Amino acid sequence: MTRNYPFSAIVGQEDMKLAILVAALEPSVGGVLVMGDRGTGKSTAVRGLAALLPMMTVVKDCAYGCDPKAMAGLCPICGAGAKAKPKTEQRPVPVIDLPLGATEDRVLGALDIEKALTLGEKAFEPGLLAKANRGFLYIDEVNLLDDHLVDLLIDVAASGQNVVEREGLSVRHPARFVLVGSGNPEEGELRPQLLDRFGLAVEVKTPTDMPSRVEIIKRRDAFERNPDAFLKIWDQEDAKIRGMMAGARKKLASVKVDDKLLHDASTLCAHLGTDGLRGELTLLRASRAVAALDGKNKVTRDHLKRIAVPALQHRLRRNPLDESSSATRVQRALDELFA
Amino acid sequence: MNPYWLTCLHVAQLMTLAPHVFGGVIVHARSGPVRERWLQTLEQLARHYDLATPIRKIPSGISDENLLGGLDIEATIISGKPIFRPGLLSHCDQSLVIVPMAERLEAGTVARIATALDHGAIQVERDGHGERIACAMGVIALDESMEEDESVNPKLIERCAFYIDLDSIAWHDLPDAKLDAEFIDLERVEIQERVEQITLSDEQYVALVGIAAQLGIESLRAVQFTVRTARYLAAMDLEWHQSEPSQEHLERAVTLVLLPRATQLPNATDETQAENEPSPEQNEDANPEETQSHNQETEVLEDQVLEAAQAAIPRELLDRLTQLALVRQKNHSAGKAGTSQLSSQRGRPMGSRPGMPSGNQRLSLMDTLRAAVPWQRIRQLQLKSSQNPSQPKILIRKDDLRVKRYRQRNQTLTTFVVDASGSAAINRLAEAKGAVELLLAECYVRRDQVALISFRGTEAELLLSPTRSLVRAKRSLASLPGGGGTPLAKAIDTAFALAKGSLKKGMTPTLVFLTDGRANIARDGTPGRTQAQVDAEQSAKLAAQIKVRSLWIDTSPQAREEGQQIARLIGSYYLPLPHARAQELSQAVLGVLHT
Repeated sequence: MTRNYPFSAIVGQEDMKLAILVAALEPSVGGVLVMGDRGTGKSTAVRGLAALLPMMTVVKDCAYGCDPKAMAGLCPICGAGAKAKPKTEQRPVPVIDLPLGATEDRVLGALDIEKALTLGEKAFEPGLLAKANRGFLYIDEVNLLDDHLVDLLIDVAASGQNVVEREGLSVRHPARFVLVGSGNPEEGELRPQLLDRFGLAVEVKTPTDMPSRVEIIKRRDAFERNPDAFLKIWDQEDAKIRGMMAGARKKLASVKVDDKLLHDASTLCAHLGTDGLRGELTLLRASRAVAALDGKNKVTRDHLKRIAVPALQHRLRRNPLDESSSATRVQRALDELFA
Repeated sequence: MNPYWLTCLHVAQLMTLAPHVFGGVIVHARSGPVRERWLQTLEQLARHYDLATPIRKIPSGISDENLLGGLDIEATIISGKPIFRPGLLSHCDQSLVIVPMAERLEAGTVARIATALDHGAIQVERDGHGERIACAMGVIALDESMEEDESVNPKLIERCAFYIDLDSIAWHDLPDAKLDAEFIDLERVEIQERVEQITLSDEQYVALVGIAAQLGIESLRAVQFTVRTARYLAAMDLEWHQSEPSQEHLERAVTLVLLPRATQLPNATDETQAENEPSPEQNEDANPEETQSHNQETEVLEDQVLEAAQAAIPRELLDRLTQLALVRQKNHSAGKAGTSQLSSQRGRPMGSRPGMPSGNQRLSLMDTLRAAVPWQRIRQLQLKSSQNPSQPKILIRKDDLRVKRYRQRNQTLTTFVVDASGSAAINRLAEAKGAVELLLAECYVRRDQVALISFRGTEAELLLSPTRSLVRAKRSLASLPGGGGTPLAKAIDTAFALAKGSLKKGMTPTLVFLTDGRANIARDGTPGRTQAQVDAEQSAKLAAQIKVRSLWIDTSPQAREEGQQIARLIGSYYLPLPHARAQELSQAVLGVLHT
């Protein structure tokens, strides 16, 4: 197992880091899409996320990681209610990779080939979507994913449920996961339907200032030369972020949004002409998460401003008379409205 | 002997010594004795360092099944339990792999190789089998591209530390083959022990980052590769006993890694420098911290290293590479999207997908059988219980059916945007019509589709929607009326909307504008030269975002600034043809379109 570069050791890229933390803190935001040039540390950051997540309580040996306290949305086995009080265990929140070239049966789950061949028995073997339940599904090179897999994902991500029918077997199991994607926009655009599934979208660029560039190279080299020592140093920093996340998670439910802020969010969305209510909802949820990460009880305009670009930039219609990038347009609207 | 040959041998040595550390090398060379010789030496080195030999090859059209692995149908049937056959990548761990014709490698394959290079492993999730397979490898990408528009996928270039050009070495320049063998003298274990002891000084890190900036290299991976190379070179230099690499080691590392990626050369003071936004000087002004870390001493080191490094690489090669890198950087987003698409009818085979064969979708028998095999036992059992007397050998269900998929080269759509305004009509609308007619015939021969947009008065009109019918095209052309104003902005909008639509359908559009470029109707239909020009320029800027090839033929008697300006904004090829006749016009257009 290769060790991941620690999240806290990433130099700069504050927008990306904030968006990832927000998506990790508040699953209802709907995940994050990180697009950017080659070599900007997109996948490094996402992979570093795994080390920041807490443990979760699950029903013991459940392949779908069912929550013992949940009443609904359980897998077929837990849902059947075999025991009123199932045994539980602690597992890290899963971050599951969906690699390119994965076949449909491995993603959705299928009949267990081995059992079918050797015993002639019909047994369902859960796929990646089952493993990702209650966690994260990470797709690197998301724009290169096969179209038919994209269709499947869109469907499951919308319903939170995965249905498999094969050989007269019908399985329905929960698949609620946060989508995390990354890719290089030059290699092909993302289909709008999939783009819409991501709550936040950030663009990353290679830093151009000398001190950060030198710092990145130094840290990278130190990590390569001696990963153990490097991880030891940065473990403390990662622990700080973990602590901040734990605090924020407790706080999140009690963070208040007042009417003035609701009004701000609506004004902004109306001004930008974003489609539907999704943008507004995401913006509010994400702002609350930002406030919680700050340890505040109330969302301020400042919190909203910090997350507005990632929350809205991929929801704008292209304006024929405005050739500037959508990020600039959101930023401009922020400056105009809330100067 | 050509000194550059030594550089190439160094690369071979580094690659075999630590394949995964350096990711790979792009070997630009046509097939020939020099390349053969280099590959032979590489193979010898690989044997010396106990890598798997002969070095495996990845063919350009490799399927996922062969690359990543898949169910071995034969073995599965024989043994009665699923047997997973590992793919080519799983044999490449701690070794090298050759990619012939790397410039033709498909984007999907490149992405899979890139993942393996990034993580030293690949996650395989196929055919009921999930496994993480170690695959720490180095790639030898043989780049045989000849034209500027062909090149190895930037993603692969990014992950390969080295670039060598064997075409710049003549066969008679090569030394005796015995000399190559002298290269094989170092022991891997010893070097790996030494390399762990070597670190760069702070000053050296800063110098390398500074050199990358001077050469206009944005990627930090390249700098990272330079650091690794410098450390290995110091370790391989058995006379060297200090913990940091010498200046000479840095120089050679820069020669090997950074210089071939340069988009500008430090002593070239041309517009390329101005375009690369934050030039080093600006940065220094903006950042006081920088002036500290980037002091004079480092600058001296930087300049010395850079100068010495440049001397080690043939100047012509360097210039050509810089040019190429710049072309790549500028064009990197030029519409790859529409050049090929998946089709169910014709093209190169691209695997299969689940589905029912129907009118235009053909059954893929092998894949269907493959899908059916695992379930035979269950089905046989079911069939027995239903007491069916006739027992077929193999039971196939609807779920198993697979249909073939092909990758198809796209159809081209050539759209003529003809100015039929009063001013243009005087300036030989008839000639333009004649030229279009001739071009139509040519498009017909090439089975391209054509479309025709004319603009006059206050409107731009799609006279002929995309078609292959020559008759229809000619008829609509003949009935093309002339006279009225020149609504250029509307013409550009309409043309690019059509181009965008055809891109979405998977076609490759080309636009040919025939106009005198004198806009006098604004987008909202009001007359007025100034506003019309402003609108046209704005449309042009927007249009430039859609990457489409276009040609702008200025038909006015004297070429004008306005038209040229708009063509430049769109990124069109500008061709002033004031007095050309139909025949010459069509020749000129064909000349541009086919180069």
